[in-house]
Amino acid sequence: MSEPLAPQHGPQPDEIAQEPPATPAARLARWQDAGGVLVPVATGIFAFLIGGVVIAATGHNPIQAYWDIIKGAGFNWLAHPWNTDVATTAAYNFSQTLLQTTSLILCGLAVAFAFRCGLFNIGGNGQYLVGLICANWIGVSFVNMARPAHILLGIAVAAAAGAAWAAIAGFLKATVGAHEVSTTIMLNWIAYWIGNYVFLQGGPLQAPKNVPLDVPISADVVPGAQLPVFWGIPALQGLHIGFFIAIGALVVFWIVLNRTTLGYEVRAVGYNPDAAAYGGIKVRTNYIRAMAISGAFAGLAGGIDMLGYLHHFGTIDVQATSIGFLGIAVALLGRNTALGTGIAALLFGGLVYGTTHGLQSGVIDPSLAGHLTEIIQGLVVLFVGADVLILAVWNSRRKLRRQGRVAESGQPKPETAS
Amino acid sequence: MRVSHRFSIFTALLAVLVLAGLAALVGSSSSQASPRASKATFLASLVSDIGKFTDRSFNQSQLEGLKRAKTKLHINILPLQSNTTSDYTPNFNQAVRAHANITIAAGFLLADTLETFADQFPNSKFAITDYCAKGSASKCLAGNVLTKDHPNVMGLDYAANQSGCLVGYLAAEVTKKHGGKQVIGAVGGLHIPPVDIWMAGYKYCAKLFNKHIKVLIDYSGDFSKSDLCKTIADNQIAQGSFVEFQVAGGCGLGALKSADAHHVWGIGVDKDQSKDAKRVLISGVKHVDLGVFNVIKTTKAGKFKGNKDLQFTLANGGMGVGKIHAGVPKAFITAMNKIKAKIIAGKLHVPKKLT
Amino acid sequence: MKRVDLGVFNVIKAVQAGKFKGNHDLKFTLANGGMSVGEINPAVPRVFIDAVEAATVLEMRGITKRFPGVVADDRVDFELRPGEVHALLGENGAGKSTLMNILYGLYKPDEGEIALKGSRVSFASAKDAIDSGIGMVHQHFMLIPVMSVAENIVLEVEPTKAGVLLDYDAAVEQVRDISTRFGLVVDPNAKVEDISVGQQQRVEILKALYRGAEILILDEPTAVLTPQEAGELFSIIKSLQADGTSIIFISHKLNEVLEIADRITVLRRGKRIDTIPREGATEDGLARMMVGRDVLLRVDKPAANPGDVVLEVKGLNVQDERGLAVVRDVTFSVRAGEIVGIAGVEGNGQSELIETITGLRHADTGEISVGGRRITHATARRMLDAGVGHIPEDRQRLGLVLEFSIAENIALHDYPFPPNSRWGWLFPRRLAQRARELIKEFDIRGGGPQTSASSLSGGNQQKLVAAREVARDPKVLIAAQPTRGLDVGAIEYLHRRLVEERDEGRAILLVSLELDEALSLSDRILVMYEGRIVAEHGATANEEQIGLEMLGGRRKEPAPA
Repeated sequence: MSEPLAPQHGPQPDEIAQEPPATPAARLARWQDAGGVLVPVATGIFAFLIGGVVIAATGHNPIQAYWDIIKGAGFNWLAHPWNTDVATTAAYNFSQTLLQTTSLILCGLAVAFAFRCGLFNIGGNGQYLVGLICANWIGVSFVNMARPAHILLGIAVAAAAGAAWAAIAGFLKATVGAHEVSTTIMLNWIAYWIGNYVFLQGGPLQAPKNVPLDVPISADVVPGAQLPVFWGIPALQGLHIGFFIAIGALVVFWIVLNRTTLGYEVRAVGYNPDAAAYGGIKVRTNYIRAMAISGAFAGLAGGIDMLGYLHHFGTIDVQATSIGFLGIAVALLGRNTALGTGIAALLFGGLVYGTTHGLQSGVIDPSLAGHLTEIIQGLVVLFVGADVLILAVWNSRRKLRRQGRVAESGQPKPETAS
Repeated sequence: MRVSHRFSIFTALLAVLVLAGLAALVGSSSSQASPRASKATFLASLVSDIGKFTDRSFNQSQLEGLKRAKTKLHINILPLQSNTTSDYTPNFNQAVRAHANITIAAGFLLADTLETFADQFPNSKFAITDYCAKGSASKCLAGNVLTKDHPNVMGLDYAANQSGCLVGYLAAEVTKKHGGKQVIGAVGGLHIPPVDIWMAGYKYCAKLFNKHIKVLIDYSGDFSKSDLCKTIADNQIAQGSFVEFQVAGGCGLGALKSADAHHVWGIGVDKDQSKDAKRVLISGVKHVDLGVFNVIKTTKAGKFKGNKDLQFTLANGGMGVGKIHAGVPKAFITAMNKIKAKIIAGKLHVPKKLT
Repeated sequence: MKRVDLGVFNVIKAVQAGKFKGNHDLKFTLANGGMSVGEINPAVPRVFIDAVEAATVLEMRGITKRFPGVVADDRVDFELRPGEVHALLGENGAGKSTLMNILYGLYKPDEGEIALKGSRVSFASAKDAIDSGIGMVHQHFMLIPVMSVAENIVLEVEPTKAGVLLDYDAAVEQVRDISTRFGLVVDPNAKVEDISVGQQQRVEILKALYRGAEILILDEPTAVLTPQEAGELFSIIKSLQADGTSIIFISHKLNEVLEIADRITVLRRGKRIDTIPREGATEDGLARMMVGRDVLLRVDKPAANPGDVVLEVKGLNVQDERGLAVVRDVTFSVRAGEIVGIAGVEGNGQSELIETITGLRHADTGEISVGGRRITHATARRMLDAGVGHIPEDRQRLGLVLEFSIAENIALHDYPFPPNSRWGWLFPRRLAQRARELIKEFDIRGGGPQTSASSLSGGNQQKLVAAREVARDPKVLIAAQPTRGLDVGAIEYLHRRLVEERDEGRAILLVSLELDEALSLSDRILVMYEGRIVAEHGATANEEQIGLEMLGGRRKEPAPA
């Protein structure tokens, strides 16, 4: 005989609300309340531990591997931050980690903002691509435009394109109730094939090169539209000012959510759409608007990546793009908060860059190194998704401890006669 | 939630501090560490494109060449895999900072980055697969030429059209023998020079030896999703194609599967793919591993010639064909070898461009 | 009875556990259950049995349970006699459920001990409690809706075929047996999602009995039941009692406690106030013990002074999601300074009527006017702006965003306007300032402006909703079951407040399922049945007459057995 389906009583007195929350966002909020900051930290540690087991299973030393990842990500630069010369490996690696972090922050916010409105935006990758494509278009056109104006235009159009792309899903949700998960996935594919098309031979953004032969790659964004690099050498993929745009976006995200009526509505709808409607909030409008804002973050990511360091893009690059999906893991680990997303983005930026560039010393096969990123990333998503699992493990641990205490006190349970 | 929020800020700060502390530990230990390779030994680096070293063809073959160089030439190697576009520059940077004596770019996708680095680091030596140096543009076999003269870059130039010709001949011949509709097909990944050069030879020689043959050419737009290539091959076979030549890497394996399923023939590419499907007639083989090996050997011997190419042809064994299916009549093989001799002798000129 | 079987078992257990102590004895007494008596002939009077058996089947002594910032139970004593119904009475938050969760093994007490039939026990989980013969029926049922009644009852202790497969026929048979034995009629083959709430509760009770429960804890069992269902539950409780089951009945409703309990233990703020027999207990006395002061149970209100018509509903027709007419041709008006009550059995269109008036649901035909202005295309926002306040019947689903703070919840309607915000900028300090004022004015306890609404007790959540709605100074205040789930103190407060608001000149529309409440508060009463208003009464209405009308004018049928 095992325990019946007992209620998950938290350590609270009698009559706290025990209604099942209405939306995933509400569920997440409950979970956040329940686990505090401990759960994401535990999630991260757990994912890294199991990743370590995977490394060990391949016959390598996991501790060494993680040191290599940390060094590969350039986190050792923090030990002597006065040396900003990118000719040193640590400084260069850290600048590259921050470059990854920049895109990941924005892609993470794209998921987080929608989530706060109770929507699961899986379409970050498509929105990123659409923004990137538009930024390329603006960046290779308007050759004579003044630099600040050209950059602003490129960024604005990229953000707007991402917003419009995501708003389609929001609109479908609000009008016909199509679930945003399916629609954003479909929009990802549409963006994917648009990207394939525009850079193919004869596509509108493909640049004829090396006449008479040409390749399915766009022209370079003109220098007048490229974001200034503030750390490193532009030609060597230096860290551009888009980094500050991303940091700014974190601040904007926080302010919008916590200090504006728009954010108030988003949170109300996310937690409890019925109560929001009762409060006089237009729930459908908020779905469209929240998706648009989410898409703007992802589009912005694509835009500043294009103007910041990619400068050109090709059909095969479109196929290899997955940063928008990484944004999901970032947002989930970051608990959909501004600060959390920032930290998770740095962690994932370091992980992505560090596994690729820290482990390739001939010790660990480069292909394994590449997979390791994906494994840890997958584990994080799994654990964050399996919140119940972690809490269950947590609770059973507590129970074990409790039983241990009972045993210690030397009182074996009496066999009661009946 | 308020409280936990404040708590989370505190924890985050704590985490950053701990991280910094750890980093300081690592930093202090690593700062004394010597550079990755001492200057006494020779270091060769290979940077993959986003097909990665796991692509079972192009990148993987070159990695094998690099590994062979390690054992045969007793050098240190540094294979660098690019998982995303943003890895290209850091990978080249890593190779250059590690004082690699030669850094090889694994394909045309890396050309831009390579040229940037060739400019930035004039004292480092580079090579690139499937590209010609500008200095030898006129002699270029494959036709893909770098935009600038770089005294520190060598091109690795493959006459894939020559192997394409041989497999094209065989395809035409078995189709003629089989009778029926005289149609063969080719499935390309992308409409790019390194793909088209195969097709050019294939189509030219098929038509040369079978005047009535029709050659279908389609592109999947992709190098990894095998289902896309399978669909295209299915369509071509439905139009009567009796031989399917795949020029699409991992995607193209789908074309070979399709040939199996419809009981027609498939032709492999880049390396011997006779084991990747049941009905592989032959494979057009491009020894990119040899290119990698040779350019390292050349450089190590002090014979690196900037702004020039290493050429790989049927004549020097850089191009070839894979295992021929047992069902192919001996006479065809003999005839094919004669064509090969003609190409080597310069009596048969195979075009480089698809027309 | 000398439980020699137990002796053999225990000595084996002791050896197995490595606790064999040579040259010592295992002692078996009444206290540890090693000695007991066999079944007693039913003819023997109860009092004799009580005297013969240990007087208590369960004893909890000095139970203390602390949660961060609150002592839920403070040295509480509780004892249960065999075959008695013992009510645990107290306001929300008094510590009733915590005490019972401790007994059921869900919490571990910080201090105190539990003795079951004279021997000390310590439960690490609900499983231990169940094994010891304790069953609990929670307020929120723990049933699996898609499974059948029988499957739910035998869940996790299923009769099996070949050790793995559920022997469904045997399960059905066993469920039939047990349900006839205790007189709880259920259809073992029905799916749980298809049966009524009252039936689901029976399934929960059967589930506990099937596991051999001798002590049954019922946590506010009538909160989810209709009056008829409650009546049936009481007869079930009586038959269980006759069968020897001891029952702990948690409630905050005085009348039912007086109806069903043998003894009553009153808790207040985590402390046991007293345990008294039912004989001699009165509602007033119990209320005083619960709240700690005199409570006005009857609403004492002056006569109404109706003014102009403020809310007018004409010819309203509403369909539900399935296209069925749920509100049919409803016409009525509410004047300033009067309380109009809508009485009716749940599900007769009251909820839909309210939702339509507040703009949450679209009307098919008909019109609504507020303050003489006709409102077309009613949206929630328009209705709010027109001066309609709404205390919704489900405060957790509709009335509050539980994750929001008190301050944010107070701003739920007026966040877009100064002083809460300007040009889209929210001013959290002003929200907090406003919240502080209302917390004080409405005596909301349990936290400050930044406390999340979910951590408030039910009564304080309701006060929070009421505070927000009243403080907006609405012309019309719609209160839907405003006292549902509240304890007497909070009910008294809310009733008084509604009358005060009436006297300030608001038009108040009250929907209540409790006829008592509707009668005592309202100046006029409308009776709703099947979507229509079937009758209207003045302040001095006949309760029986209304009761008949609520049931469609038919005579109230006796509750099925």
